[in-house]
Amino acid sequence: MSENEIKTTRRDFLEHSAAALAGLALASRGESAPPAAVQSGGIDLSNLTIVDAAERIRRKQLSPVELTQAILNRNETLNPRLGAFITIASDQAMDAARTAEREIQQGKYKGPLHGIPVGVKDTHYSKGIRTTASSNILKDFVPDFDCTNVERLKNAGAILIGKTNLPEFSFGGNTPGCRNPWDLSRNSGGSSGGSGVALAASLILGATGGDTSGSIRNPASTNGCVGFMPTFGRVSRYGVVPISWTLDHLGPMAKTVEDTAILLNALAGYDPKDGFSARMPTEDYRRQLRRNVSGMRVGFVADSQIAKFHPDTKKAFFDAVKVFEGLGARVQEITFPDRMRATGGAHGLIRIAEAATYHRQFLRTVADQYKTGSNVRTTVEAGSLLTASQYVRCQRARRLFIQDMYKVFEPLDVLLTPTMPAPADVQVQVDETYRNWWDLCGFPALSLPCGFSTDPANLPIGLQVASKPFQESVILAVANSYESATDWHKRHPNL
Amino acid sequence: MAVDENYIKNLAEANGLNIPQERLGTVLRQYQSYLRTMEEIDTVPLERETEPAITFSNTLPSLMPGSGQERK
Repeated sequence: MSENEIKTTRRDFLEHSAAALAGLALASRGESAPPAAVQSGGIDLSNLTIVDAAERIRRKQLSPVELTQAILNRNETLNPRLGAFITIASDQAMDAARTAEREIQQGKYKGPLHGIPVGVKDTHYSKGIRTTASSNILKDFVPDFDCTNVERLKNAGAILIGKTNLPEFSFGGNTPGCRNPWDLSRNSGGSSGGSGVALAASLILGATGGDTSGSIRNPASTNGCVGFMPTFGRVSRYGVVPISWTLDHLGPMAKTVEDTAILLNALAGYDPKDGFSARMPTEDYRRQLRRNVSGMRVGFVADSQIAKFHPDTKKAFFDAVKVFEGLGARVQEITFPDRMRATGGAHGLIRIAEAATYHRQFLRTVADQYKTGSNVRTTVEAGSLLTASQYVRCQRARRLFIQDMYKVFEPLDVLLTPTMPAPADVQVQVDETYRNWWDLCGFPALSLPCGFSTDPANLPIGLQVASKPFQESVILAVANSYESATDWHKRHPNL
Repeated sequence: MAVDENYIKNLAEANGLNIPQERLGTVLRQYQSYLRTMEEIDTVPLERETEPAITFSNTLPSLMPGSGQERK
């Protein structure tokens, strides 16, 4: 197809101009026009969600090609400042957008991800696009197949814009070179920092992340978006550079809870290629969002257990608890059994013993290629020295930890904690963060915005909502109720 | 036996790894932090019936990763 033909086709596709669409989007929200800097090709990307874009694409009011081009233009301007992407696959993205547009014109609309620009963490194998895990060791690795998550996103019609930034091999809670859009002097969190930044800066509409110690929820909280670590086994890990096979979780990240549910609909489900994949039925998570939170049993971690958390974080958290009270939830304070603090330590050792075996080949052959100043090499070298007996003792302690967590949840539907002890780059010394505990037991947990700091000013704060295994729809419904009752998710960084 | 740099060097070699001399101190500190965590975990009594929490989901051999079938 020639470029002229494409333009003619696109004119036919659009019933309204992109500029008119932007006006419509703003009018429907009752908001004033954003500064020119956040507009790209007449499309107000900062306010655009998957739900908004999908509805306009479905009505043929918004062209996937125009949307993808606007996203790529915005990336060209902002990514050099933010470092959200390691690789932007412009040509492949535009090809996919043209295909999506043609399919929709032919009446082959696939659903709410059709024509939607997304990014995936650069641990996800992507056919023909390099997958570096932000390492020198894999810097030239170009997979010849897609991981299951990329395959499922593509099958749903999503447009892969590129590969998002992370610390070397996903080790760490910060992402070097990736700047927080709310304050460019601060870090983005991690390890899925690029996905969090790209969403907050509207460089994409949806993303994936990986979570072994909180690495989806940390950057979601730090950058002011939604990140969901589903139950272990719910989303396939096949074709993704691992840290730790029994702790790694993959999941969606988005601007809103409903967008997150749409992404989970595409990602969730049994995958025979993943040995830990769960043979559990999935639900239509988007349809379950409207479930009423009134009467639900909502636990919240006691003040005494987060005593050393930042004051702004604690205030935002307890304000969120009050919102749930106002929504009619039966809230109750929770303390964790003391034993969990000891058994919870198993997380770190299991993680590093498994990581050491993945890295063994690299340590033996290319150890000098680990990044200078990185802790990855030291961590996996030391992890290589743990014994099989120590590893299995940790997995037995993990069993006790899981038993205790089930007991904690006996009187609860969901449990709330702050996602992070403090806003971005603010150091506090805490005994427990309540993030990697969910990786250790494999229970699902989601982070969504619940406020902004005052000192330092204007940094996002996240609320973590956790539940029992395979209760993703309950978490999403609870999170959606909170989001609907607040407007934190409507704030955008001034770029 | 003292857990020192020499111990780390020998243990690494027994595991097929060569850790350069200049890195032994860094790796030693990291390893000692793991041992402290392990000591804390070992304070929790484990009943004889407590099995490790490694989960496993079986599947057909033809669908196992690495079989070559998964890329079709």
